[in-house]
Amino acid sequence: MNMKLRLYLWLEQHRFFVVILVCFLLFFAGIQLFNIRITGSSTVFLPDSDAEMRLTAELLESAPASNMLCIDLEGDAIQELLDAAAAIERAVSPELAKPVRFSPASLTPERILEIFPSFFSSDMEKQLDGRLEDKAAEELFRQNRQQLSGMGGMLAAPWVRGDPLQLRVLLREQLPAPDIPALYAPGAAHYPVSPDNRHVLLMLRPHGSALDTTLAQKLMRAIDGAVQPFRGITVHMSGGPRYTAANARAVENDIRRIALFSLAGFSLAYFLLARSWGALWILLTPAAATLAAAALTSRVWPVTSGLVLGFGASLMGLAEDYAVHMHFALRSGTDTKNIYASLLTPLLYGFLLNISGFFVLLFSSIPAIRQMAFFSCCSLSAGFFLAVFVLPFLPYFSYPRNIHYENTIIMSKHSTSRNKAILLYIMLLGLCSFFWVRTDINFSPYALGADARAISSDAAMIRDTWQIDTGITIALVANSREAALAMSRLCAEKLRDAGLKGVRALSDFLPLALEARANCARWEQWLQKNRDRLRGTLERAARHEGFLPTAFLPFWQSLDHPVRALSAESSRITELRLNDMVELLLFDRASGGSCALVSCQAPASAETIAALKALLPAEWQGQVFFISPGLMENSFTLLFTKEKQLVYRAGLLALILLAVLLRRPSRIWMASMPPLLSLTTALAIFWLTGVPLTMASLAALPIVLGLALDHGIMVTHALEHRQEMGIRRAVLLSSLTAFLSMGLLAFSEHPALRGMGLVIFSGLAAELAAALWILPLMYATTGKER
Amino acid sequence: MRFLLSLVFWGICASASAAESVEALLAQAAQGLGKTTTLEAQFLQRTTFAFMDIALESSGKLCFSLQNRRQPMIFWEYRAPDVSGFRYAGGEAELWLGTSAHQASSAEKQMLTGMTEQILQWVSFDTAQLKSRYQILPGSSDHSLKFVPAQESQLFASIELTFSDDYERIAELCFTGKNDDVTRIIFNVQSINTALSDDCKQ
Repeated sequence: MNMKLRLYLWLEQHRFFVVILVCFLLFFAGIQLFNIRITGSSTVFLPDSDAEMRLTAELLESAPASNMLCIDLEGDAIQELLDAAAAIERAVSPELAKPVRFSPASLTPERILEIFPSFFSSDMEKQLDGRLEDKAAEELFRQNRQQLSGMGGMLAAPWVRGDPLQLRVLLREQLPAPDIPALYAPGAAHYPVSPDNRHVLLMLRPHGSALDTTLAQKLMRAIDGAVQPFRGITVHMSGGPRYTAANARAVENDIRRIALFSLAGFSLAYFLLARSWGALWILLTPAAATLAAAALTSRVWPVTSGLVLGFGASLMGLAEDYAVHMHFALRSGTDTKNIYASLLTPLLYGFLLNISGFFVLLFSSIPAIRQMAFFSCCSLSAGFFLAVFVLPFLPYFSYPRNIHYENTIIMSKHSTSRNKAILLYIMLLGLCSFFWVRTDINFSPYALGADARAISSDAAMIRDTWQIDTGITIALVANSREAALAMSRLCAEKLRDAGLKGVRALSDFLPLALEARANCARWEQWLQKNRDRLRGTLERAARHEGFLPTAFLPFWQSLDHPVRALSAESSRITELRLNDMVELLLFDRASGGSCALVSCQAPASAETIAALKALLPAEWQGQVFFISPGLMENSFTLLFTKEKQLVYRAGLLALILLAVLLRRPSRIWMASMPPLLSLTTALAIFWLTGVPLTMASLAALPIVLGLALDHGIMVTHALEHRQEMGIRRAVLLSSLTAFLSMGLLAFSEHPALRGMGLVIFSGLAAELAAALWILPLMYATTGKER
Repeated sequence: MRFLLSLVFWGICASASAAESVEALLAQAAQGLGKTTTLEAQFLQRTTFAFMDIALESSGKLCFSLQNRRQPMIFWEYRAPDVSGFRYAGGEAELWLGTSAHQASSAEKQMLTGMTEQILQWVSFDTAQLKSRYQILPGSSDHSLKFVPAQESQLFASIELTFSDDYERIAELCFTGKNDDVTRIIFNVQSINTALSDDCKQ
């Protein structure tokens, strides 16, 4: 008795044990899934070898600025624009996002003296000494009175009372001027207004990741609702939440539109082709395979990429294929043992060829591709294992038997000459190579997003309107905020010394902790020395200008508060409402440590970055990262272009394996015909429509090619052995389910799903024709000759 | 019981008649002020603060022209005790303090634009817009209305507008601050809807 029959008999004998074992394994896989940690981070798409790029990506993700949403309101009436900005601010609840304030104008008079001592330099001390001279003080008080009797008298009153020496003017000189043309009008909540009065800018910082779809959609809904009453206003938005919300909305729309057709088609296909309770086991197979694959992946990697899971789920159609073939084959005759033994070889070949491609991808330098390959290998292995070792022995799986298609071999009544068959094959190879070379491939992550054109046009408009500098940002990493701030001070000095323009750093106005402490000590000494003189001068000047003795009580109360030095580590900065300015430029990293940003106006080129690197201390190596517009996009594009080599290697390995397993050239031609025709058709569609292949459409290729190769091998085997074994129904059902679940995505609004769907739609249509019509036609020639 | 009912009845009548008078005043003011295209007036501003033992007085000149609504002109100058002011016309603004004048910076220009828009909204007296922004109550006299901001304002707690007898101009503006500080501006209109004099230039 041959080995395959012995295996069947052993499995039949021990079926309860095997089934229980599998149930246990799936149970543990389910438990393991509770521990799975999914990440949406882009760092898993960066190679391990490029630590600099991985850290740059991680910094970009940690930077609060990456999450921000810029809202530009455009219209003719400035007041309406300001009202709309205020309405948005009111509509967005604090749990969703908070508005960003760049100006320290929100400092209150009561709080001036909390922040002032930390900035009290020796220059400031001299200026303040001058203000205590009687004449200078009288002039100061005359100005105070003038402010009170002018247009904004009521607004000026708390400032005059809380800060009669106008320390705010000295302080403001230390703080950065707004670097965008802006209006900080009283009562206007400090919204920047463009020079032509047609734009108002509002910036929001969402409380959560920019990839959080629920948060992004809630935010967009709140904004849409708030601006609805303002009819003359156009809203332009740029930022992660807009991108996320646009994608989520497009995917939701697609699912709503396609899911019903997909489900109906799916049910109809099973009803017409399977008509068996046993088919229910087939439906469970891909779910079980995906569960096992997800559990194993989460055991090997502490964090699993969300995209890997998404791709893995799309492989379900492939994992289901083995079960479908086994089901129809076992139902096609009464000699179950022999059918099983006969089917085992082509199924094994198909499985080995499929995982060989993914096996090569395990050697990718990109962790996400390795994860994807591992997940696919696990999922296919589980699908194959279940189809071969478990399903045949489950109740109802092999029934009802002897259905009418039992012995109808799919031989073609027509035949073609051998030369014609070879010519067809060569022609296909040529066409496939031609289309592969000529079809555009766009590896940019932006090619995968919904509303990409509108989003990038809005972003460009906002950049131009607000003259947002798109130079180079230098990220400086250190163990503490204080150390990062110190580095940014030195970095800014070096860049300025080298003549670079537009250099900005937080340390330009925020003193280091040591400096702040020294300034505070200076202030306390000054106050101790001058308190009586200050009181006398103020009283004389106040009396002269008509102020009551109690007028400056708020000022004296503030002076009595204990002095505390500001520090980059301190939460007092937040309390003092310098928070947005500070937190956007100095932040803690997700992986520990802190980062300070320094920006400068310089062209974003490799030469500039090399020159900037040379300016900075050599010992900072590994702590300095350069961020420029489009940096990540270009890096991803470059990386995936390099990874194309792996795809060629995977294809080559599959070809070698095909040759080794099938040995005979005619078998190899026939088995490889469906995947070849699939690939050629899919590429032709993309070439003819001018749509570039994206990462998503390329990710769909293994699904189509895998199914096509399986079907090629199975049909060739059936033709050779003149055993129908339900092959026609198996191929039809397997292709139709993949087509209905993923091929219909070709009608999606979302570009990534549409690209994926287009490949599956065209590829499956071609492989179906190849497997059920062209192969029998070819076999009619090659088979006869043999 | 009758007494209580009569109180309720009088209460209803009183509030109804107050609302009617507000509506009537608003309608008259909108009709009268709506005709204004140019105005030239002197003003006297008197501000009292609880923390000062004197009232701060200043005086100056206000001119505006709405002949071209898209490009309004506003001239506002304090002339005593100190000279300061601004002129906004055709999208350009000029500011002065004493004898030193300068073209408004971008930020200053934006602020003046906002301020000009606010002033023009009052001058054009768009009642629908005013109702959306303020709670409008009867003022302290027959010819006045009190505007309380619907949303909390940093600038003032209320504004009271007193109209001239013919409702064609605002005779007095009274801002009440949050701390009961009061700024009263009394206008002495020199001309309405005639060509502006050379005095409306710096």
